[in-house]
Amino acid sequence: MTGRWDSEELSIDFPPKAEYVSLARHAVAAMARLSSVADSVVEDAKLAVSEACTNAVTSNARLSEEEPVRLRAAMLADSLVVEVVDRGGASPGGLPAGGHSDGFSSQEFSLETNLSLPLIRGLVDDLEILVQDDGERVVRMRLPARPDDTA
Amino acid sequence: MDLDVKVDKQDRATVLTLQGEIDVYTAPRLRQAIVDLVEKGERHLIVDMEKVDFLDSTGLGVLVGGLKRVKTKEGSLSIVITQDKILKIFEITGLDRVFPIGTSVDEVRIES
Repeated sequence: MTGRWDSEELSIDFPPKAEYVSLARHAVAAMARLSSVADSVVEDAKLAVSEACTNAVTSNARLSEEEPVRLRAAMLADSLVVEVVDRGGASPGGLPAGGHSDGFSSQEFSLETNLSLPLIRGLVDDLEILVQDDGERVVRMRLPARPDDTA
Repeated sequence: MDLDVKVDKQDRATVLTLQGEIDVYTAPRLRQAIVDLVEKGERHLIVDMEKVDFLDSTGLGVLVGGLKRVKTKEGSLSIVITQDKILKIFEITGLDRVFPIGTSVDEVRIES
């Protein structure tokens, strides 16, 4: 795992393993709190990051245990912007289905993937999912620093 | 942060008291606890989430899976939620209309 973090910018590359999802969301939460982001937004950001990173971990683990998930977060004006980059572009139509790296695959998982995207949409102001020709997928999310902020 | 699952039989219902975070790493522990209880014949489950600091869609999936399991045995799965941030997740996904939800074990026990 590699990373860089200051008060307004965060960059972490981590292995596609379930145990790293917690680290990812807590890192974003810590950065947001240092920038005085409202507590309710921090909670929303933690959940959105967790959902995106869970999907990224699942996608990359199918390819290789060495394929890192890239997390980037930054405070921009009155917004918290988060990007999660994986190699899940081979699965068309947004966030993919698949098995977990720790063997947790069941009927519950297919439901989980169905709930993941609606949850993210319900939490963030803007959501973009960009898929490159080489299979790289970027999930970009923006949350207001304070609940009443608009952009 | 880890997830602690405590199981306590109370009258007709079995209460699972959760503490910690429920995500893709810890949710299998909750899933196994529910599966074990249902296999032992427990049909009425109450999941107490008062001390849950974090829940994502993986945890929701496990709860829905648990509900399906107990429903096939004419049982129930109710949830105790006292925090707005947890209730919000159920509301966004519409699962607040699927599960019986209350603010205490006593409240949901009456419904189970």
